[in-house]
Amino acid sequence: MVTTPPPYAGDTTRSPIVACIVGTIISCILAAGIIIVYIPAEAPMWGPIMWVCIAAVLTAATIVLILRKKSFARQRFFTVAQWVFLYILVLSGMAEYVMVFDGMRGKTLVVMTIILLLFLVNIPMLWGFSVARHERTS
Amino acid sequence: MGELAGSQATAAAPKTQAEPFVPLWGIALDAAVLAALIVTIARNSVYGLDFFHVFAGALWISIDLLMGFIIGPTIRRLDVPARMVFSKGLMTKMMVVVPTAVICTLTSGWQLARADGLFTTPYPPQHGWVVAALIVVALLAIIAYVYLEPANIVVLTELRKPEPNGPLIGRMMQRFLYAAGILGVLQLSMIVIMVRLATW
Repeated sequence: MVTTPPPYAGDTTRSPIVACIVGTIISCILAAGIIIVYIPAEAPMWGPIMWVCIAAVLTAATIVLILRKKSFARQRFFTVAQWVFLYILVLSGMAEYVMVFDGMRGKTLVVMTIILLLFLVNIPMLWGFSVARHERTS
Repeated sequence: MGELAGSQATAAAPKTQAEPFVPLWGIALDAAVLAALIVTIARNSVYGLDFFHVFAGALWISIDLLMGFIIGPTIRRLDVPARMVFSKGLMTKMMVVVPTAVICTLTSGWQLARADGLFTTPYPPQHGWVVAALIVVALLAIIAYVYLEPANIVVLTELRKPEPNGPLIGRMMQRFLYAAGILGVLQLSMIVIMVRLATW
């Protein structure tokens, strides 16, 4: 027998939060891509900095959108996000270790570190939100 | 179809479970592997880097191909209760193996590329293959982090509830299997690129 579940109070349609996070991830990958393609030479930094700024603005927008969301399963969001944060922390830590070990310094290292920090914030938010948006909150 | 799958899933889902997503032995194993990788990088051991890159890369590619082209289509033909039981066991093991395999492959691959001077190769044509590898890795990352893993976690979370949302599980599993198929195709292109770079 087919049963229809109760309607969700949370967001189950296309969400601007997901759009912002996907935009951030793509911006970060473009910023890192420009730096990586120039290695071992120093990349012109205006491109990566522009993409990082866009990613930072989108991240701020994501945080505001999540904070302003009503009927949202915040506890579920944080439960998932904290474990994903731990995983991405290990991943970012390895990347940072390799960059420093390989002698990356100066502006390039700063921009790459900011990119990793943006990943560290956004991936847990995306996975946490993906789960929490489907929670049936009362 | 989705709703039918959903009602079957709801009926078949095991009741609330308290065990963690990732078993403790899995976390300990992953930590040991990552510690070995850090030591290998610190010692600049080309043998060790090669070992990590080939072993972890083969594991990652094989899992993606297996999921995309063999397990995925097979799961789609199973009835939903069997699909649920199979998926729960599979996904838990995948969360132990895949993230660590990805970290090992990418980190050791990056160090190997530096050691082999692949970043200093002349632009056309060899450097183009290096850039192609980076583009494929970027696409793999976007699909895995944006589509595949969130779907995986939603399914695992729903299956732990006393009354799982069947239609949602059906939708997420479809998304997971399609994403796995696309990753499989990208991994095939990665094999072509890696073989080209290794035999230049």
